[in-house]
Amino acid sequence: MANNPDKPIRGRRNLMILGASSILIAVATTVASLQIYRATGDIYLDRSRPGYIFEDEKHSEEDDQKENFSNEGEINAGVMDEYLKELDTIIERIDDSADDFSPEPLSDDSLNISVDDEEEQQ
Amino acid sequence: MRKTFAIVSAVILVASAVNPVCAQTISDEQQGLISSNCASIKLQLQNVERLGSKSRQHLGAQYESVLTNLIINLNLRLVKNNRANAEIAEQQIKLSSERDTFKSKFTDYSRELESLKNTDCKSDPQHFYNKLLSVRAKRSEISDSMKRLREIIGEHRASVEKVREELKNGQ
Repeated sequence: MANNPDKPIRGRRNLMILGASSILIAVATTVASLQIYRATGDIYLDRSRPGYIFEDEKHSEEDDQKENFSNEGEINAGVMDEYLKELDTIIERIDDSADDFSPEPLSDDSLNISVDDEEEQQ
Repeated sequence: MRKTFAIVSAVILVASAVNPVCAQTISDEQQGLISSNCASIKLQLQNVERLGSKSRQHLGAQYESVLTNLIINLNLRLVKNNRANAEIAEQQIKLSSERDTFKSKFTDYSRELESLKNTDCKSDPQHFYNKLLSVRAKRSEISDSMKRLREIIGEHRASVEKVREELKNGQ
């Protein structure tokens, strides 16, 4: 049985093809998943995305969701009072953020592109 | 020919009625201001984006908390006590649907804001300004959604008070 000199060369070539195709598949699936991540809008809602919100600015989940009303037990006026108390705590937090999406931060004045401002300064 | 002209005019009219705020010719002076303040505008936009994300996270958690920790549990408890309340059940559906709208409006806004950040304000201030108008419109849609959510929560509060009064009066 004589050794075929082509065999090791083909093996090496196959290995290279396998490696290259694995890399290509990995790149293609990564690009596709990033596209889906972006297209569905999850990128804008993903709180774990690096740089999304600075760590010290994050509201802790404990603060955000500590209210809880049990779905078990009787219903009476006292229970409803407790419910309203918990609801009012959340309403207060919502009202504190009522102006968070006001037009002000993107107004011409805030961006310093108001022509009137410029004229007034002169 | 006249018919084609009429159709084209009608299409333009409808298009401008659908999206009336997204194009506005600005003066040369304002274009100059945008070009010269480009760097600081971009910084301000980054800040607005960061604060918006923070608010979205906070408000989203509050709406989620009202829905899953309070209303759903209250509805279950009312049903278990044979006091099912159609008004409160409807509020649960309305709140869930509007919360999804809030999320989707925020996604649309973020997409527009990102596109605005990537627009060259130095060399094409007019295009930049038109995009800014579009971002403002999207931002106002989020605000509208927040108002609707607050209204639903307010209605819910009134319904719960009504139930409490009924219980107090022994009904």
